[in-house]
Amino acid sequence: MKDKVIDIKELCVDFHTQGGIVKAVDHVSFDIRKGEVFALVGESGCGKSTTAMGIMQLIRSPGTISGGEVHFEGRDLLRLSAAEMTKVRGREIGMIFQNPLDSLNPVYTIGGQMMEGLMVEKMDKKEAYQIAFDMLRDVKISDVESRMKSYPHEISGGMRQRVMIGMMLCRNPKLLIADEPTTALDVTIQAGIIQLMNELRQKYGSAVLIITHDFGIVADIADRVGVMYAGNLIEVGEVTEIFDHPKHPYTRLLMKALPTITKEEGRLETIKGTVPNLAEERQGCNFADRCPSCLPQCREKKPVLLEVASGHLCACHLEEGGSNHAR
Amino acid sequence: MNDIIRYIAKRLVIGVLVVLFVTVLIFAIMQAMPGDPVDLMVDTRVSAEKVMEIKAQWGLDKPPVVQYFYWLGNIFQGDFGTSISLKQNVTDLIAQRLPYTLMLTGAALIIEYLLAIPLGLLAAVRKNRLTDKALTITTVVLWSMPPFWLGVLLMMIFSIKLNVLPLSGYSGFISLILPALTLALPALAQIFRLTRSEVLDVMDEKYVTTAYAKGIDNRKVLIKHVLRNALIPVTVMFFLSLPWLIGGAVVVENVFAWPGMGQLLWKGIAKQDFVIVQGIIFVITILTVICNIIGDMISGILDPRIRLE
Repeated sequence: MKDKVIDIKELCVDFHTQGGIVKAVDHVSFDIRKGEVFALVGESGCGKSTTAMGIMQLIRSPGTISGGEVHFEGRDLLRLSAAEMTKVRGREIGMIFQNPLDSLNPVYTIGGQMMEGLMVEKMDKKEAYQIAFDMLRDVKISDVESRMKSYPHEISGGMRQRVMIGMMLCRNPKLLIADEPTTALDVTIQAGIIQLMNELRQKYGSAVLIITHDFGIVADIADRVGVMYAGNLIEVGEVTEIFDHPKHPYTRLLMKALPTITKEEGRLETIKGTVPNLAEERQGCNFADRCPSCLPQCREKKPVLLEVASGHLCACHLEEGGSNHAR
Repeated sequence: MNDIIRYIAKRLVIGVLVVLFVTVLIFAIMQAMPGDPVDLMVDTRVSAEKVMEIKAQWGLDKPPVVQYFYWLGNIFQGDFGTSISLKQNVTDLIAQRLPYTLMLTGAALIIEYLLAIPLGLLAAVRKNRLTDKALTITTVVLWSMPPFWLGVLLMMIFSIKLNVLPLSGYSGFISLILPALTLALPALAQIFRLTRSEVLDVMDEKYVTTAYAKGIDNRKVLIKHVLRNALIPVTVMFFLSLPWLIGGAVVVENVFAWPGMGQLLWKGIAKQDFVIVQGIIFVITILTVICNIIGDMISGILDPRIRLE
């Protein structure tokens, strides 16, 4: 097995709200290997972005990380002091966000903002300028010299996301977290950004954690994928394996809900029911109420991730005790 | 660069129109006020012919419109007219007193902002905690104190009981402390609240998360990213509140016998000396217009998204 860049174990993030404690991320465990692209997918509010913010320890009040371990480079990030974690951010783990339109500070120039991260490490201005300059060229920004002096509002959304990618890659982090990097962009620009990320991770050798709800992007760029539902990670595996043999009923329904060119069905399938209220204390599987093949034990005991095929994990009672169920 | 000059020119033209409009208003209000200044000048026993003679001497016998243009014409030659009650040239009176008023309001503004900005930032960082609540309550209490009362209170403590600061009047820089505090402390609440809410707003911005994700430490993020953006509206407020403070200084100048314009205005109103009142309001109007233009230009410099057009 290849080396792990990051190994997340039983990560829990709680939000203390007036309605009770919301377990936004509930005992989530997965790892990312060197040079790999790992995709976290799931519908809005399933906890995929919160998982990423938890890794970066950028969860804001009323949220708190209530448990787990995040092993990175031989240490548990959750045990680092605030100052030590500051050194990890940007330098070892970079992160880009969903909306590039407001991810850059409006009062500073593109060049200034790129150099700011570099100069954290006592780098002199000239060197930082050169690195930022080369990086902008790498992310395919034209007329770099004048772009360095531009303010964020003077360039397009797609260009701003390229700047963000460049800004987060220029310190050569071992892991780049991309939280829905293309969601806010036009479809035509999305493809360009994904292609760029693919090229750059090969050039810089960073592992990538990409968070998305778009299976098209997963198919395009990811090596492995984790599916989240209501704060739980319910299925993990190689992309081809998950696409060809989804095990969890939720993943299967999700696959059926995807539009394809070849399928000759008139209407897209939808998943009936709604996501449960995570503030309520509940037993059993979070998906039980919507699951078409729910068993009695699904309402009593929470299923855990178990290996159902080589490298393919699934948290479902249907898959427990030998896979003699519907294949 | 050309854009900026064109912008300033445009603003100046608008500013002149505003000033002209205000002169009409001041003049109309002074005319509509009851009472006749000549009655204050002369004894009731003076004959009607003599009164008419005095009126003619002051130009008060002419129709108001003629009087207005007469006054306006003189103002643009730098002559605010002669005070009816003090019999002195109002231009000289204002020139003597304006520096004291600017000194007082300037000192008050500096105290106000130097206290309010760090406290606002502190309260925002410690949102809903004890520090935040204590600061909010303190500033609201100060806000509720009328200046004439706070002024007397400070006099009692620092001049009479402790005897460390002069009671009133102007005897050097040290006299500035009490009146400036009296003016600044109640006004603190506004800027404190503005800073606090702006900082909280900016802390929710995505670019602040970006800055943290880049590995910038907390203190630098707060100063370079949060405060830098939060202070744009606060700085504009600084310039907008300057003329407002001059108005507020009227009461404080009277409490502390401060030899400024506010005290002169007070005397002018009490004696129905319309020449003084008109002159001072005219000066305040001009200061307001200038401060507005400066405020706009500063916001254009601080925020690159604002185009000066």
